[in-house]
Amino acid sequence: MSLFGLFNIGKSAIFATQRALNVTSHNIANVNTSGYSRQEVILQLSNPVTGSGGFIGTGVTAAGIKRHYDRFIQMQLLGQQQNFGKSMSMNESLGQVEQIFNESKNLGISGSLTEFFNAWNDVASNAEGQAERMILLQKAEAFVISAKHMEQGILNTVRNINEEIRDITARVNNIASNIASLNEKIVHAEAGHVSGNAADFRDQRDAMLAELSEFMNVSTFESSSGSITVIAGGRVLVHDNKTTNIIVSSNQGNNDIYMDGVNISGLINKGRLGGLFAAREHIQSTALTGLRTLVMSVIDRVNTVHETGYGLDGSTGNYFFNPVADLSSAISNFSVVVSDPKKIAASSTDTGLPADNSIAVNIAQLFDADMTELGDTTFMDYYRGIVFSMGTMSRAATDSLKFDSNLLLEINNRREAVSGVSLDEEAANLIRFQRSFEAGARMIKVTDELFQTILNL
Amino acid sequence: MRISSSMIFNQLKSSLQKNLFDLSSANEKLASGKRISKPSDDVIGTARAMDYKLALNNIEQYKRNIDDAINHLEFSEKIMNSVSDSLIRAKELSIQGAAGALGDSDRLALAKEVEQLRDHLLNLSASKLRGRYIFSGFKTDISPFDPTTFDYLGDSGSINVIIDKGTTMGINIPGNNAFSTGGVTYFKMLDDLRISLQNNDSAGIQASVGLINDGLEQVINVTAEIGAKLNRLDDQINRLDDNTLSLKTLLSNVEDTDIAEAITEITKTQTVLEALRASSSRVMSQSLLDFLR
Repeated sequence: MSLFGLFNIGKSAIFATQRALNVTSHNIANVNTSGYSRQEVILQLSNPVTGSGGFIGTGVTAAGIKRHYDRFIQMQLLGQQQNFGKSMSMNESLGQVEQIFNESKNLGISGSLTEFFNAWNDVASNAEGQAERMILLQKAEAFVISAKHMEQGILNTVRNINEEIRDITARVNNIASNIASLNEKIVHAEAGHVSGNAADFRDQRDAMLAELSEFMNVSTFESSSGSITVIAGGRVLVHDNKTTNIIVSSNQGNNDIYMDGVNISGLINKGRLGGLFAAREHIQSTALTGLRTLVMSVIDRVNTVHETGYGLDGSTGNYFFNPVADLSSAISNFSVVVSDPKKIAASSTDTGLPADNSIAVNIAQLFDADMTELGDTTFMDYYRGIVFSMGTMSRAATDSLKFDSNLLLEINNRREAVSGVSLDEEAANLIRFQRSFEAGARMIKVTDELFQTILNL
Repeated sequence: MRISSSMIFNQLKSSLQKNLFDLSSANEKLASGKRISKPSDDVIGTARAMDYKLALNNIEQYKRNIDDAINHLEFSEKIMNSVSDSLIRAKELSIQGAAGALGDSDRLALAKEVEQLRDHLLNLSASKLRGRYIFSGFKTDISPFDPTTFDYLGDSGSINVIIDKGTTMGINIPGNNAFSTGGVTYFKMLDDLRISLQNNDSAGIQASVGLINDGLEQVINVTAEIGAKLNRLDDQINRLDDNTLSLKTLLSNVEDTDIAEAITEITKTQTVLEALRASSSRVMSQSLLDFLR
């Protein structure tokens, strides 16, 4: 081996450490990048040459870059993202509806419902009184307004959910095409390379998958070429560089999602989409239908009794509220039809006018009566049941969100333990590689001096 | 376990978040005085609180109804006491008139007083409370008795108010009950007595003594009925007041913040938070880079 060999060894040291310093600074630069997996240069012995005394080393080469990554942790992370997304959406939507029924802050309908029946009591105490009758009409109006207000609040939440489903779906389609194009890049970059992989592209794709998992339940598998296939709702969302679009379409007023013309909403039970579908179902079946059933019952019951009574002016057969045609319009068409206080029917006969109050007493007593259409409960018991259900659901959503975000943090920590960048570690590496770079450079200088010595002979 | 830089940061961030959240919710409890700010804070507690509030509202309403009823009955009672006084006086006059020793002028004077008593009773029967004739049954807009024929113009309608769940009580005494007995009104009785006195009809005067006595008995019956109702309402009010007190205690237990507990919670969280901040500043500011100069 000649003196030139020394040059080469020094050069290999400089090249390899330069590569290592590159990776170190890449790591440092990405210390805060989510989804980044730290990289490490794999240093390898160069192939030795045979000299007079046996094998002689020829320095070092950077054989490749290792991506610190654990597939199993990554799978767990994706699974937990789906749970977390669902809990987050449910907590948000149910929390909004819970506020509409927040009896702790005297929101909700119990106040106006109670005052409506209190007003009937006062009319009963003084059936001839104009003032009591005026107040009853005002209280009835307030009851109507608060029922409408609550229905509006619930419908707004449902509308927000539907809009969010549309927005998320657009993002999902966007992510799917990103994954498809990353698939292509990864296959391209890794083709023919035996060791190492397209680490940064893979990190990008994993970050996309993590975001996708927060939106919906998906399953993935990777082919030997490095391309992944993503399955959502039992259908192929991404395969190689091709995607299937998810379409949002209205289904009986609700936004559902379709793939290849098939409604897959029922299969999406995780992620934010899954949470939105579940919350929407809860809100519509419990809060909305419950409130409408209650109002419909009040309207029917009050009308049925009121109709038989006589107003101060002798009028009879009048409804108090606008009668209900069907459940869905119970609140939207809810209104007081009696406008003249004299037409409030407190008396059971026209001969009993003006002081007969038996109809007013009967209506006031409806407040305490069990109603078959409300499952043999009173108005207030039934309403309290709705508040209880919404509170329980919201509580369950909050509890799962707490659990799921803790678990997500935990799994993230495990991912970080493998893939995260430690600045201390990188600082140490920086010094280490700086020193070896300096030593390599010194090697070359020494070799140069050796040459000078020989040349000056 | 390998510790990465963002692990430390995330851990601190979530611990700070958690403690800040605890601090703010303890603070809110203290500020609002309520331990439940939304149903999901305590679902069972919310349902109970609604129960108690409803019961309190109903009691409040029953008490208002009862107050009205008591007003009405006490007013009626006062009137009936006056009726009783008048009838007692009329009875005295009729007994005086029945005594044979009186001269014509004396009897005419008695007749004059009886006439005044009759008019007084008519006035009493036309008593109004809050603008309503109270002795006309349901026909509270007309005076109960015709002042010349003494016919009853009202009806026998009973005005009921709700005094408890499923319980009502009639609060009015129709005039045909309060001002007549055996189909004869007190006015007719006194008017007959007046005529008998004027005509010196001793048999008629004698008959009047018996009738007025019957009338007095009827007044006593009516007054006793009113008294019994007032007693019942008094008992009911006391019972409702007792319930109010215990319901308010229950409601407060469910709804109100335990101040001592909230303050302890705040102090505890503050201590943790301070420690966390102190350790954060140390952990986050230092890395190996600080020592490599």
